[in-house]
Amino acid sequence: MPLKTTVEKRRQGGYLVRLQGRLDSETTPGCEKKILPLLEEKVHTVVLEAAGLEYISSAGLRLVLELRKQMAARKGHLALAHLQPAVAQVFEVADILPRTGIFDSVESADMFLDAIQRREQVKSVDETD
Amino acid sequence: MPDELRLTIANRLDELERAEAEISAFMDRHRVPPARRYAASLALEEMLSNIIKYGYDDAAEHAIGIRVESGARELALTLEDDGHPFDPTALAAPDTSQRIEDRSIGGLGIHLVRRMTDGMTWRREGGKNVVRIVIRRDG
Repeated sequence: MPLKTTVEKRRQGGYLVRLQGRLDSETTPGCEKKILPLLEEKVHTVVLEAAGLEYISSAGLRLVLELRKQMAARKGHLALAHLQPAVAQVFEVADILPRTGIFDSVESADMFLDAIQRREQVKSVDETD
Repeated sequence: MPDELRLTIANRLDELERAEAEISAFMDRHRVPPARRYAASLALEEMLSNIIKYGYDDAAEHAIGIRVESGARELALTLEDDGHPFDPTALAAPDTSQRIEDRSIGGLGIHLVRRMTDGMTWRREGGKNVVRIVIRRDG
């Protein structure tokens, strides 16, 4: 089964990217071409929704790692939501993502990201005082 | 006598899909449980792409032999290539004490395969690398 990548723009510089199928050495380059150009200056959060992601190999993990690096470079955040058990196991074994970036649903990822953004806004207000 | 599948592919990445399809059909026929299928698919993709990308010192076409044996207790995947000698079992595990950002991503695929399957051996035989990976059905 190939990969289906669906991108949804969200409020306040965020994207929700839904992955369905296989993220492997064959499908990852196409997915990368779809996602990386989205990352303009004002994008703060990317949530990867992976309920339909059946398989990920090291090629797919490298893309997730690259996304994480790019988001970190702009002080943004990457979250993964709704991983199937086998895919979650691969992430755990590879150990490329802090556990704090993995959520059981898009809703809980959103709550976390909102909380971070609020905290950062408060901080930047403090700094301008 | 375990049932087996043999196929040969060329050292091109576009051959991976054919190998995956053949082995997937073989695992269907042998009722391999889903989690174990994942491990077998991963082993196939990671080991083959590694051979194709880094195994050869020339640009010529090479044949890679694949054999899958299905036994009562385990699946065994054997890969044979005539690339330069490379022992994947000697590869060090990634240094997880380093920050994620600083860590080298090289060798990640082989590390994953070693952790998600139940045994890997390597031997050099007749100018070929022979890697055998065992996946227990109940693993």
